[in-house]
Amino acid sequence: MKKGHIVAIAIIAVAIGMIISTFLDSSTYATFEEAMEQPGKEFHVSGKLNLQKDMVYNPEQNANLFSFYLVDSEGLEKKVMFNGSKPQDFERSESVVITGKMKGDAFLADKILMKCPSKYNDGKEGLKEFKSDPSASL
Amino acid sequence: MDIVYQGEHTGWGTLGNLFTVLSFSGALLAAVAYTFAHRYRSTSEEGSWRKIARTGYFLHSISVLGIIGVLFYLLFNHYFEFHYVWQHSNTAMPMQYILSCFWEGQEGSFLLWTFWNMVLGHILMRSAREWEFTTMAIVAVVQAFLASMLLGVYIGDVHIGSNPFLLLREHPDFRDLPFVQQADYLKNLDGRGLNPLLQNWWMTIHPPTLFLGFSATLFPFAYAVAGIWRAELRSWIKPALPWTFFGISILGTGILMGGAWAYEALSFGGFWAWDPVENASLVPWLTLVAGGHVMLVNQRNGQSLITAIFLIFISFILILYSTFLTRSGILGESSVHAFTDLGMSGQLLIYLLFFVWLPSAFVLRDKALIIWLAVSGSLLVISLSAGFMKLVTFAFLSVSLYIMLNGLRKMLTAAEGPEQEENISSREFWMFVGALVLLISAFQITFSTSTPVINKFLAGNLASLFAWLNDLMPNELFAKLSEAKLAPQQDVIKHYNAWQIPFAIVTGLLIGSGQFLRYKQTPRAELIRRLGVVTAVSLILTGICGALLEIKEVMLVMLLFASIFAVAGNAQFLFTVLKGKLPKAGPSIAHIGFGLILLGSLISAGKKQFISRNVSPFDLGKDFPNNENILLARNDTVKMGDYLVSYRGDSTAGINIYYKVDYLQNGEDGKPKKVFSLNPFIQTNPRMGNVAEPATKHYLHKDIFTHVTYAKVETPEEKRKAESGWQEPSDHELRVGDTVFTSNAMVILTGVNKNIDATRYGTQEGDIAVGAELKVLGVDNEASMVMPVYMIRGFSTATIDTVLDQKGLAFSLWKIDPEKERFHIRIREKTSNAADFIILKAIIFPGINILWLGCVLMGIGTGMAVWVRVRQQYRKRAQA
Repeated sequence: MKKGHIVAIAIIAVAIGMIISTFLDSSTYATFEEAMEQPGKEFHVSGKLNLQKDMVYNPEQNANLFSFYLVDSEGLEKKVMFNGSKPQDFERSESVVITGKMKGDAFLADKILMKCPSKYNDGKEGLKEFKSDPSASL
Repeated sequence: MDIVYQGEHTGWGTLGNLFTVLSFSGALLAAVAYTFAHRYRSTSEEGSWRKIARTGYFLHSISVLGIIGVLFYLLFNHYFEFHYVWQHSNTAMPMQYILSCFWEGQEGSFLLWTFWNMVLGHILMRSAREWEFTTMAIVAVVQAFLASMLLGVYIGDVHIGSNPFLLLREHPDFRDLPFVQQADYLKNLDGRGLNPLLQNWWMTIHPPTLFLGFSATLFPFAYAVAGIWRAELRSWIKPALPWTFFGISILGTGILMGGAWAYEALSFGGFWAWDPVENASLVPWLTLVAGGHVMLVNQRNGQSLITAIFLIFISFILILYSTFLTRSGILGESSVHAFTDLGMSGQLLIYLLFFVWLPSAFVLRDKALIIWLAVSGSLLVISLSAGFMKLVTFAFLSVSLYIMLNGLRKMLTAAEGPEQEENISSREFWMFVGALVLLISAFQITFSTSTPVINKFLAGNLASLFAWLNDLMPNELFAKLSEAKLAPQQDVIKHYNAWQIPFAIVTGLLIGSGQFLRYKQTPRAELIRRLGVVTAVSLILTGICGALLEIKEVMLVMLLFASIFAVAGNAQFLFTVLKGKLPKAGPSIAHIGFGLILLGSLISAGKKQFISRNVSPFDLGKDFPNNENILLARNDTVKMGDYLVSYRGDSTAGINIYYKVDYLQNGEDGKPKKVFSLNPFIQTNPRMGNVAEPATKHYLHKDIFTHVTYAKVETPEEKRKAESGWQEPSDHELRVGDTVFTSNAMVILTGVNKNIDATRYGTQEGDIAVGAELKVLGVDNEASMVMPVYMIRGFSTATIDTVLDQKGLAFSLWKIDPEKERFHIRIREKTSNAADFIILKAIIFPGINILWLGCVLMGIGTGMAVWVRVRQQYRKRAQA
């Protein structure tokens, strides 16, 4: 067998491993209902803020807890507890993608991706990400 | 009735449009004429075709400069009747960011790209000689594609390009609004303004550098494809080499400048977050580096030619793919800073498909070519008419690729027989292996970044196929694929690091040892002797660094070793083998730089320390592990790491609110002394939302990053109210020597004064006046003395209060209990004392300067290598 063939086979094996691991590692976009079916499993949920209900951020008590209500694409509303500080101008965001898991009747989020109207590079909308996990950035 | 609009400058728009059309036609003319010049080379017609082609390219060049000039003129003069000007600038904006306005939008950034291609094209035209016709034809086609992105022409419902000179009142979002029906609508119109995050110094130099890097990838690609076109698979490499390493240098610098911008101006605290947009520019760089090294291998031994062509080809295609990813809106839900869709994704996809297809047309001849043209043409038509039908598009791409690679193999075997095997102890073998490692690394990043594209691809038939498979053999993989709703990885950083750290380790080891290997074959004794020293030194250094930095994870220790080894190996090579000879030092310096980048990333990211740990008594339990944000009240002092940190209040300058944060450390006398102050700020922007920007203190060995994650931004009126109002008072019974705390100070009852100066308070004979001597000690250790007074006159009592303005505190002595020797003190605080707090995040990045030093060295080293090669070629030509 030629060295070239060994290298080629090794590369293909690594590539297949990579593809499968990427799929298995990846999270899933879901609704609150789907997230409730598998509590404790991590999902991405996108939805709109319910501005009528209270957004609670009491930094005097805890600067790392912020809660609000989100209505998902199916119209189901859940309380979201975000482990982090309240993003600047959160009220202005039109739609929000949260990452985390259901626990009881609340969704525990560790990441918020905000889509704000007419922000960022271009015309219609832009995105802004807020993470809570300290290891989440290099 | 037509409205006669007042104050518009439509003439400039017409001029801009004229230039746009000319730049497109000029590029097209040059492409066609260069193709004919090649076709009729060495005939009498060659000269005239060349003349037409060059004229076309000059026309194109002048038009590009014209477009840019007009757009700048419009931006400078705030002509908001133009949608692009309205969208990306306003009158309040500082003029130094006008450059950022220019390339904030898609149209401007396409212009920037076109500009660099155009400039580099002139260098190519002058230096390419016998390669001019073919390479310039390819450059001109690329320019025609880019110019078409600005055309803004509608054919039915399909629009080609987005025109930067479109009037606001003609823009689809505005033309039906009532205000544009008024003739004087411009009178009170201000622009929407520039995104606050782009109002940063780095944003004026990062995009031009990055786009120059993007442009640079076109030129090796043009040479490689021209090589196939001219059936000269070998000779394109030599003239293309300086271009390749120029691209490596500039693109690498551009990417790292983006990292510097993220680090300085963005809030996530770091320079790299594996964001799709960052990844999209890193991937072509990796393949370009791989390609450049395989080209070098080929220069030595004549092997690995197809790999070199493929890597250069794929680098350019990946630039197009990354353009597609970031500009088509497909990243919508997964990236922070992607452009939004301008409805050009179809056009971008055609651009990509065309250049994947192009080489396949050059490897075929005669009948096969005609068949392939017919087949690929009909595939494209089917695909387009069905809105890029997935499988057909996929077939088009993969068949094109197959035909190219297979054709190349046949061409090569016919010319020179099968390739030779390389000796395992030769440098070229390991350079080749290194290139493959980079290629796999690039593949992993691309694949993981492409989840939105994969979702699109899966949705429909393929998803049903996987659903069926999942019924047969239920497992997680098939279940996930059948849903076609893949989201980015839960922990993106961890996912990428798990793959990329091993690749980085292998790359570091190869870089460190590669220089000691000789081309063809290396004598074993020599290799062991040379490598032995470097390995021993690196092991010792790794041990010391690892122990000092407390790096324990096996993978990270290995990465530490690999990066130190890369630096040490090249440093030793530089000093002992090259003896510091500069002309040949470029590669060693660049490799040292790369090693330092790995080392700096490892230390600064792996050992970064959140010093703003919240120690609040409200523990939220294990579901909420994050406590990196901390509340800092004004003038309060909190211990953070080795520092005492104090928030000293805010100040407003223009649109920015600065929050002064003092960092103190205990001095020799044990008293806290200010070491430095930072002013992180919030840029207020009523239209686009407020944006917080961090401030960082730079030391040689570490940075202290400070970011206000939350602050109440008050209107001036709210602020005035807060400053005049008082909170609920608090009562304290104190004995002499007792201490109470307010939100911002420590109050000690130091003594009692019974000999009050009579005249001062208007006391009379027989009055009893007692003053409480209070020492108010702020966090800054500034002490002030105040003395509220209690008076008894006959049967009535009175209190004389004291207000300490600078701390927003008021004191009152309202009762004295002589038996218990207790003094009743009432303290009131201003409302603003309570409202005045910030939520802060502070991170220490150790050794981040190693990373920046590495970047500079890599840029310099690569630049030197380019310079040496260009000089060599010119000398040879001069001799010839």
